[in-house]
Amino acid sequence: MGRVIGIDLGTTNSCVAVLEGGEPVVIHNQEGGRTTPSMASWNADGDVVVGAASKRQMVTNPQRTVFGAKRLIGRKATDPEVQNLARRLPYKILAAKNGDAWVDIAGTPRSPQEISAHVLAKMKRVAEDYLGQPVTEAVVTVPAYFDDAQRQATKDAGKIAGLTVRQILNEPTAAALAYGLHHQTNQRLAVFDLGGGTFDISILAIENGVFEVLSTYGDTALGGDDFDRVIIDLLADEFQQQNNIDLRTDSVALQRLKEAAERAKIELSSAMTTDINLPFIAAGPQGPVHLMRELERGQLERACRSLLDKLLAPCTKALADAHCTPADIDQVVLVGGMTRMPAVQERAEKIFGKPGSKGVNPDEIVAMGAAVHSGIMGGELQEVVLLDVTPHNMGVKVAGDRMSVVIQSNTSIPTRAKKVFATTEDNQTFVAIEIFQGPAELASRNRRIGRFVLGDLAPGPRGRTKVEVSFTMDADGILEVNAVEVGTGRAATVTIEASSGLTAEEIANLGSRVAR
Amino acid sequence: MQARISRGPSVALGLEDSGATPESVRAAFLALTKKFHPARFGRMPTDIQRLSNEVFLGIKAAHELLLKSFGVTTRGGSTMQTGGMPVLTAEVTNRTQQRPGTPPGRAPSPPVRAGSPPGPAIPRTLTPTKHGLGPPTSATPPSRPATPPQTSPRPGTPPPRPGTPPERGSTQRIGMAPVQPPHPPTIDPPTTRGTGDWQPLQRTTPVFDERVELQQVLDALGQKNWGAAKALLNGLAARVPASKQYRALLAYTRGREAQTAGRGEDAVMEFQRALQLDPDLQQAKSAMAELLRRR
Repeated sequence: MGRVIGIDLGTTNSCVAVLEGGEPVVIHNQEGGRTTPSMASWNADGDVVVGAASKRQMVTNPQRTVFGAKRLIGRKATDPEVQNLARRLPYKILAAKNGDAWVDIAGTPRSPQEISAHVLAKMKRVAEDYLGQPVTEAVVTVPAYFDDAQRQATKDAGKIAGLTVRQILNEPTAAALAYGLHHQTNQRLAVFDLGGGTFDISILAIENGVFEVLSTYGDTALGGDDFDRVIIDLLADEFQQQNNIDLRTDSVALQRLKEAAERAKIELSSAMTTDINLPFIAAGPQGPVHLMRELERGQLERACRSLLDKLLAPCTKALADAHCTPADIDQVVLVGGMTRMPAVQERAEKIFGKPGSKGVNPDEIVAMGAAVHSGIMGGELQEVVLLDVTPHNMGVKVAGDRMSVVIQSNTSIPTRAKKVFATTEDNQTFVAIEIFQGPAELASRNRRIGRFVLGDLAPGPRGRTKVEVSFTMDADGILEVNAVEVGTGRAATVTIEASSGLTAEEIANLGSRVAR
Repeated sequence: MQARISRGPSVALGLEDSGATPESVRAAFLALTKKFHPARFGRMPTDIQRLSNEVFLGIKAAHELLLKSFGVTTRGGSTMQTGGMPVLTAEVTNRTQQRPGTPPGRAPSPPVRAGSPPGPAIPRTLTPTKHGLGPPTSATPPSRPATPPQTSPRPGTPPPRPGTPPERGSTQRIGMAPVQPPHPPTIDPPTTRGTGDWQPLQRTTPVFDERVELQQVLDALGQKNWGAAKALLNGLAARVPASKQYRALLAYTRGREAQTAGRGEDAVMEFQRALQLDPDLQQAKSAMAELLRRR
């Protein structure tokens, strides 16, 4: 059997690692970087470039350079977060036939799965070059708070890239595995993961080598990109006031602003001030206009206050769900490039009452954890195992559009739970069992992930005919729902095949293209 | 391992019934988790993965039951699980019975009689759910009530009025109400709970699927049950006001009703209305043609 690689498919950067001699090793890409920008560009002749080469095209080829595909993957174009994003992106987002958010590249609609597949294929090649053998299996990480469709879409991206995704692993959990491999004393960890696009918080207990996730919570729309956007808005608003030109309407200028904003943000993590210097950013009535100014760390932190404030609620919720207080947490592991920002570190310290752990590379630890998990699967690491949780409520829609929760969020998986339901109509002959995922009490506000019908019920007065619905979720988060009529034993079972919106045929077609 | 699980939680975890302590239960669980967690079988064929899942669920259930018998509550999300545990064991039986004929994703599966003995291929040891995984203290309620408890007939609920808005009459047919209040889960057999809390909600139902209802409409039309078809279509038309299809079908149904009652004029009028709404409605076209031909 070939090797299983661990891939952290990030919003901004991706990283690949393998397990060597029981230790996770991060692999350098062909350009010498330990992480690869999660970007792909399409040239005029249809060629695709990925990673650093694509990032260099951000300014020259903005409409055909896609970054942050992870924020679109598995989402609908009508999703408010996607709509919000679309207004600020240099490339165009459109709705696919099934309503999914796709990207328009020079008139060709492309799915986020395809874009992510190019990045995954690049990571696969990086690993193959290093290992000197073909790689066909991977553990890929996703934000803990990703829902079913987003996970499935990520799996499909792997398939397009020629990888069998053996496990979709939650990013904070992966980080905890990598961290805990060398700190195996019994302890409680809080993994504070602020990446390019998402914020996740997980509370774990390590006990005799078993990593048990106690709770996980997150915000899929809070990450480094949002901080960049605050800086972009700060600069663009000021520029508009002075010159009456909105830089955000010009995709090349916007791309340059984004680059400058990201650079300034990174520099302000170590310096107190930084210079932003964008000559010839626009053309005014009196000729070219330049954007030149100094940005101070204090200004950045003030502008980002509302984003920083958003960090607290998920942490509080995760602690409560884990039945912990901050004092119960032994270590805070900071993950994701954004945790380099001093203001973010301060917030984490304020919330948990202790500073974040040192000696962890926040950009690489997730990929290392994915590699550790591949070792658990392959049997190289016998003394470590992971017990994860499902981050979302799973339930059934009942009368009045209510969601009746069957599996509660933060239930350790695999798990099985069941509930009994009754008919609401005399002589009702069938029930439609609609399965929803999400926190809202109204089913329609959650995500519908499947439905099936249990028919031929024995006629009887309403309330008398009962159907027992049981949910079984395996360790991979895949749900199987089984309904049995109490009394007659008439049964129906369905495995929820989360759909990423691509058909098997589309995946195969894309696969042959991406592989080339 | 499965045989061990079926012989009770202590045996499942490899513990002596008498000498077990919360610590030894936990330690045994952690040791078994390292060995039998499904992730260990992640690269194996699907059927082995499924089996590993079942085995681990058994280990987990045994762990939680034993801890509960010591009065130790497991953390966070698993409170619900402990609640559902006795029920859960029943499910192990159920599914094992079903599996030979039920590949995942295929529905409906052959009927499974509740409480009937398992098929010959199933190890006997898995069946007695009441005794299989129940804690020695017998604190668990029976896994499956022998008879479904009676729900109160809800004297306060008025019968559906004939004049009720259409969406009610029809949608209730596929409504479901939980028999137990959804929060908090308890260890009582869920069916002993009254439905009271949920009655008012049932009046506003909508568990709604157009295709299912449309099929019902076609069935009703096939059976010449005009009343039922009209009620369903009224409901559909009210919920999907933008769709002319349902209104067209409704007119067509009225036409058929009139035709059967010998009111030819009315029938023609209704079919015409149907075709105005949906010029492609094949049924209306043929019915109209038939009617005109007979004249």
